[in-house]
Amino acid sequence: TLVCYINIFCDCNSGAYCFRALCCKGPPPPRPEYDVVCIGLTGSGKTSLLSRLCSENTDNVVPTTGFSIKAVPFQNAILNVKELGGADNIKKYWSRYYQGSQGVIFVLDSASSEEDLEIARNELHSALQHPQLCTLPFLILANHQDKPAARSVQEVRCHCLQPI
Amino acid sequence: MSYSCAGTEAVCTGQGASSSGSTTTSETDSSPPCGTRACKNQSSSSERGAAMKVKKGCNSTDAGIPVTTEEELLRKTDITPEDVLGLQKITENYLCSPEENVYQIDFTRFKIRDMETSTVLFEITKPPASERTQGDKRDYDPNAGRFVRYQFTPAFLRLRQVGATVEFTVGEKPINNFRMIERHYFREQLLKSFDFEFGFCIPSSKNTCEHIYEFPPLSEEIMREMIIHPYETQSDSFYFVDNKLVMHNKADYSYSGGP
Repeated sequence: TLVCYINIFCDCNSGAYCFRALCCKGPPPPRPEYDVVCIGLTGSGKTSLLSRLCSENTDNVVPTTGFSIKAVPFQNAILNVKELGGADNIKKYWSRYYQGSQGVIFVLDSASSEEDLEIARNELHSALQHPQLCTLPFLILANHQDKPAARSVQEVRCHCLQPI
Repeated sequence: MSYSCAGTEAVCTGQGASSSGSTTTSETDSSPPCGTRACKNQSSSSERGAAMKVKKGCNSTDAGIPVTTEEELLRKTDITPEDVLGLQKITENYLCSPEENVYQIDFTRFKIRDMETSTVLFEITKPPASERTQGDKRDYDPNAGRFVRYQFTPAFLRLRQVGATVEFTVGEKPINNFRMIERHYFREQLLKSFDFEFGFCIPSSKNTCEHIYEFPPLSEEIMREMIIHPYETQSDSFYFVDNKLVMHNKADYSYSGGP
């Protein structure tokens, strides 16, 4: 009950932080931040995904024609995501933005054509082998699972992770 | 909380991370430092341009940068980041002309949101160039596009973390290293200095960047003074391409809740 009392009167943004400072005089300890690069073909859903994670409206999303850096808050951390447009004239510059990344998010449209999935697979493998990314953790998101033509996560995994 | 903006053009503003506290001249940093972004000392890859990085606490005395004055900078042909980091107060004049923006950098949108609640506090978008009315040439103020006046309520000063998003377009020339240094002052006192390196910008691109600003802890006394003296809080935003100043924007701020 003493703990509950503290939570009610504390204006810290998370109950977990309150336990560390009984009188809650100071700001909560800052969340750790990590720099992540987000890539994938145009239309795979990178911008929409990141907007959703930031509780933003996705009705007016247009193709990204450069970089989009967003601070995506989670309870225990903040991800500073550098999202890069996937159109041909933009993706040729992806590697200019790899330096300093601590992780990679690769987004795929699970319902794309065989041809596009093959292009995505090639891009994924280029990234996996790039000297500035090859030691980093990768999160591969099989997006658009709600589309009828979407391949299952298992299918996407098997297809994309086949060696080139 | 309610906010309004008297300006019609978007300018990159926002409040930067505080310095580590030892050298700012006033009582503003009596609380422990915010301790957010560590200085990211990336080894820059010269053939690719610098990586994006944030430098914390770029107060001239902190970093051993010599003090500079506006007068001496106005005499220089090229102004560097180190030059402006030595400035101790807001400049009276712009340190470069609008014509020096040879890379055609144009700020098109600015937004701030409270990171604790994700509420958008303020947003302003510049209409596309084709829609902007030119107006009478005789009335044209060449500096109109580089100054914004912000009107906030006192509650704004109590925010801890805001996400400030700036959107900008770039002309046909690729930019190898784009960097912004923004300095906020209350009267003659530096409140905070913020330094963000965007690095490479793709030609003809439109780019968005959101950065989280931790408000420096401000004493009740300073906050009271800022509230009762509107527009004595001011900022200079300096933009550099390859370490040469190409743009300079200014803003001032009211926290009294009214014009």
